[in-house]
Amino acid sequence: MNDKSDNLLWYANPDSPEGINAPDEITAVLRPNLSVAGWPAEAGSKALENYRPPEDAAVVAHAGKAGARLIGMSRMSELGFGITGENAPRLLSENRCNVFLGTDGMGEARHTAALAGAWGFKPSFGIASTTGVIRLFSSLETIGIVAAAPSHLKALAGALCRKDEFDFSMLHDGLPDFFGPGKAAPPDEVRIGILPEQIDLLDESDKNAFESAVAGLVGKGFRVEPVSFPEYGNFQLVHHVMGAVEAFSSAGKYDGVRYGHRAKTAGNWNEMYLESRREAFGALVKSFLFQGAWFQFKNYPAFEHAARLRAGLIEQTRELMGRVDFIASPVRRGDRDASAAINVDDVYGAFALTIPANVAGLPSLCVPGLVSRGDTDLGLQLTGGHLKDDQLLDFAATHLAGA
Amino acid sequence: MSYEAVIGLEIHVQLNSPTKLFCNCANAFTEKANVHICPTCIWLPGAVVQLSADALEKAALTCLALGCDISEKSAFDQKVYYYPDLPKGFQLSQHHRPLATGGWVDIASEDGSKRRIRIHHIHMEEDVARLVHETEGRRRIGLVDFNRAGAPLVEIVTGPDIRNGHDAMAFLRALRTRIRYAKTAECSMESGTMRCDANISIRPAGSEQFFSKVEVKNMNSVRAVGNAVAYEISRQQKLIESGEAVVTHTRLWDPDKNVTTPMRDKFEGPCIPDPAVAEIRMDEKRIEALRKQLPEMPSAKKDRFVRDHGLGGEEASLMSAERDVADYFEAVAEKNVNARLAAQWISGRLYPFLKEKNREIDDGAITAEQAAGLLGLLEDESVNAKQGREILALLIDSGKSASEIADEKGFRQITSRDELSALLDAVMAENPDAVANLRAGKKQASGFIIGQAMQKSGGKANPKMLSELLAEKNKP
Repeated sequence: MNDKSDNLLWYANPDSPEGINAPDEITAVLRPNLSVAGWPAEAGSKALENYRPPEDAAVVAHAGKAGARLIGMSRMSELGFGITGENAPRLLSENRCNVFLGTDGMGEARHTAALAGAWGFKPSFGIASTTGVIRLFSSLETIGIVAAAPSHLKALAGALCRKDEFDFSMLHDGLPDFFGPGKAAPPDEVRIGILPEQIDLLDESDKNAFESAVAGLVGKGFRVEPVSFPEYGNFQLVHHVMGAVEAFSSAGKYDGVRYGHRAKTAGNWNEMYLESRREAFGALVKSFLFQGAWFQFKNYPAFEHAARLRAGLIEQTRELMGRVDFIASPVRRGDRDASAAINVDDVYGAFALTIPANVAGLPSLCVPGLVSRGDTDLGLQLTGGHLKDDQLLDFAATHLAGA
Repeated sequence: MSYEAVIGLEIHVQLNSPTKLFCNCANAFTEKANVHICPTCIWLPGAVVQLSADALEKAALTCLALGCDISEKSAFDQKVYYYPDLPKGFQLSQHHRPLATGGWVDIASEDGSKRRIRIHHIHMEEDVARLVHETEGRRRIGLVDFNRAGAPLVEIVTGPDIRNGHDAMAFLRALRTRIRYAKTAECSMESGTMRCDANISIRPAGSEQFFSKVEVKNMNSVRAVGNAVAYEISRQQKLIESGEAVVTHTRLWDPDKNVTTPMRDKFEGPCIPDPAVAEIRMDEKRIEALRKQLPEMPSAKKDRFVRDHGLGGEEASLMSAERDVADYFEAVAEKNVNARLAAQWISGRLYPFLKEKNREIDDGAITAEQAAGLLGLLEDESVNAKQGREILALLIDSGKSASEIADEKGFRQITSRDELSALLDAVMAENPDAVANLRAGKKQASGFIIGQAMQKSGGKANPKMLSELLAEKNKP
């Protein structure tokens, strides 16, 4: 963890002072795994200490063109694995900024939003560029947008989800139209599914909070119905295996030698490399990387099996999204604090409700203020159909904003 | 006891794609360091990789040109090692799932018999950076040039079928010819677009066992490969004969001393699949479309040149060795000229002349039409060989026909029998002593008279016809 500033920003933009000048202005803080030319982009890791990218990430450039004022960077969990120790929720809830741009590999942006009482959005995989984004999960992670106002969220979603010829993972057909006419259907035409297997993960207090929110949705005239997903448990299994392997693959590039920490060993080149890695990575990420290494070195068929399971989950999810428009759940569980997770099990436990959208590549949104457990906002998570990001945002902005 | 060597080669060939393997930087050599670089090929965090479609196509064409089977699915791995030429700590290489398997190249062994060298597999990989070692005052420094980093390579791995330095050289030459035919790579060991490592072991002749092998690197020409292989076979044989064991390790060829010397080991980690790089899928339709792009290969072309154009085996080999030469030869031969004369002039005069001028045979410096015109003049003896060479030199970039140049320079030979007869009569009248000597059987007199006639004609008389006419005139 780095904290180089007296204020809450881990890095403050010397050219753009803190503070929201006007409600309409997008005053944004970035997670330091998004490259900004000349700014530090250490992604919370000693392994990338002092790395300053030569150019902006594509999404950062798009945000600038959309009028976002970038005031600095927040503190970040190491390599973006979860949100342990992150302070973006506080920056948002204390109105130091009204937008936070980061990444979402297992639900980080949605959790940040839920903790801050803000709106958080993870787009469909493949519609926003990842060029210049220091990711841990190559096939699971997208950018994440958190905004105090849904209007800012939609404006940035439209601005950031653009083609990038350098990113081979981007899709080209059937892309959402964020700037077209609103696509919100009347309440009685909207079908919202609830997955019993997902709700079973909640404790009684969370269930009560969620049932209360569901009652509110029914009261608004939405058709809410349970839809079973027997293989729900596989989402976490698949994410854990594939995520660990992808993380190990990514971390191989963040070696701690070329930029950042270099071990002061008297040994040879090879020892220096290995020692630098040993010293550079923190305990939480290192244990996750070890799991990835085990699959890559010793049991790669397990990764391939997970990839096949994932293909099945995606297929089943598509079929499910043919029957309902959205799937609703809380974003987080009240008894699991993602920002305080200290081991891999803690992290997966905290993100159990948000991981399915990452595995299936679906758009997913955190709507604040609708699922409350006492004083705590758990966030209402709405997940939409693949590439139906515009429909999801329009629905939430039309029917749930100000609720 | 007699021994035989078991040799396998690993050949890295740099494809001639316009861009690098995973980014849009130019795949081009330049003296200035670190010019063709971007976040992807200097491996900055956040960079994304995008496989070059052109490089994949050229790699696949290379495989097809060598008779390999393209894999329906192939994938990149992280080949882990730590060295300053690879600061990200791994090289993207198709270790577990190569692009193609099988294939072969036929060569002529030392005794002239045909020998088939099998190709075990061909895989794609990215090149690493180039290290430059310099001194700064008394301090030795190492510099890294990333221009080459990420260049598209294929690595061709042979079976253990090579037995000596001659085979190794013959294989490399045949391989180079076939790849150049596919037009996918330059394949120059001198300029580094083809690099070869040799794995060499020896065993009792007739044995099927494999013994400890030594890898030899740093050979920068085909001949160096032959020399290094021969040296290493001899070194290992001496070791075994003196009761010492051959230990598996890597050696470097020293071209100045003509010896191999041990190389310091570098850490080589495992090869692990890289899920961040998309899997390659090649369906049969795509492979067939690529196969159709391949030209007739050199051995088939050579046979056809013998059969259809009446070339001798050696001439056909020369004309089919390079695709651009073969294409040029065929273009000339199609213009109703003597094909053997064409082959002789292309290999003996035209090609060396263009090389000397730093020009390519297919760059239009001398078109096939111009060359055919010159060969026509030579064939009907309108010009002699010496004049032909002068015309050749004047044809380059002239846009003129050989006939026009011959006329402009007054090179056209006198081939009229009447004209030549009158010329001879005049010379004989002026040199009665020579005529007397000729009639007395002195052969030198014939040369003198023809020389005088050539001089009198300003070099334009056809010497062969003069000789025949002189013989006729002095028949007993």
